[in-house]
Amino acid sequence: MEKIDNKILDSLQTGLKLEASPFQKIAAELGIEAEELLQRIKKLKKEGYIRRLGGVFRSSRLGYKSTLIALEVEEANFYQAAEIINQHSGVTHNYRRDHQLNLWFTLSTTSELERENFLAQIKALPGVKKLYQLPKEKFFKLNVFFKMEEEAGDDHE
Amino acid sequence: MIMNNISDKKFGEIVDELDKKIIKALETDIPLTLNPYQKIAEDLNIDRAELLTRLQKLKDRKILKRISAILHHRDSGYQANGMFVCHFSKREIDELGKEISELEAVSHCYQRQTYQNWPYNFYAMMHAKNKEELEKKVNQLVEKYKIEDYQILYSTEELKKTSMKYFDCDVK
Repeated sequence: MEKIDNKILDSLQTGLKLEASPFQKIAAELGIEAEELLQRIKKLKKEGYIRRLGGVFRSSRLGYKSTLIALEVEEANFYQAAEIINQHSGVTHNYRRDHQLNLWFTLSTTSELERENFLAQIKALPGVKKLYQLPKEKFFKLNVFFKMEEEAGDDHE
Repeated sequence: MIMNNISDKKFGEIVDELDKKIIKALETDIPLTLNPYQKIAEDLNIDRAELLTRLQKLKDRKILKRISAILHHRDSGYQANGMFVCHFSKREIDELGKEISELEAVSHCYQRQTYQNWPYNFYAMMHAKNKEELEKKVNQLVEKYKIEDYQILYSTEELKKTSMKYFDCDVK
């Protein structure tokens, strides 16, 4: 990756201006042509450095509440359960962890009923032995070194 | 299925139909063109000026944080990603939580609800080049704060990682 690409990533993470030609503005700041900027962004996306270039919203301000769910699932049923969980659009992160509680996901819903109905369905899946709801009681500020990990829907605030 | 004592009241419904459409248009990727907002506005059959005004309002209301790039973090040099969990007393947690969240290997921390068989109320998301390095950091941490009961849960597989898709049911 060239130096200019790093600068582009920095600038794109800070955000685009809400004006007619936001890329033109960034290109001017970086001293390149807007066309070159767009080509480089496309390349950075293609190479997987950029996952998405779009709006980052606060889901809590849109009426969503998010919680962390930990499951113990039998290995034989693990992927089946994961697949059903992943179908819910409010599930944004889902990880296997090397622990008895082996499946951890985040769930955002617009009501308690929606959350409880979905979790009742998950609890009843074959192989699901335990389910903990672990809502956050406090969030400690995102470390500045890890600014790049911040993600829409995580809703740290 | 309706359960007792479970509220079906919406947590909050704050935006109108056009705002919802705008949010849906921005929750994936914006067009990589010289005038991306023009293209989005055309797709929504509104003026670019109206789109920009609406976006500014969403920003003022703290619904829109910004329009920006989200990077892949697994690709950025951290092979070991562990969730460190332990229990702190009510008295300890605010002070230690803040201190620990500022350590170099820690991206962020949470205080979470506990259960009898899962008594951990403090979660620190930790990252290092490999497991050995991460364990070294954890050892330093538990020694410094004299933490005896703790666990590290490594993420070994990403099953889903995506941005939130809003208003799934009610916007086409």
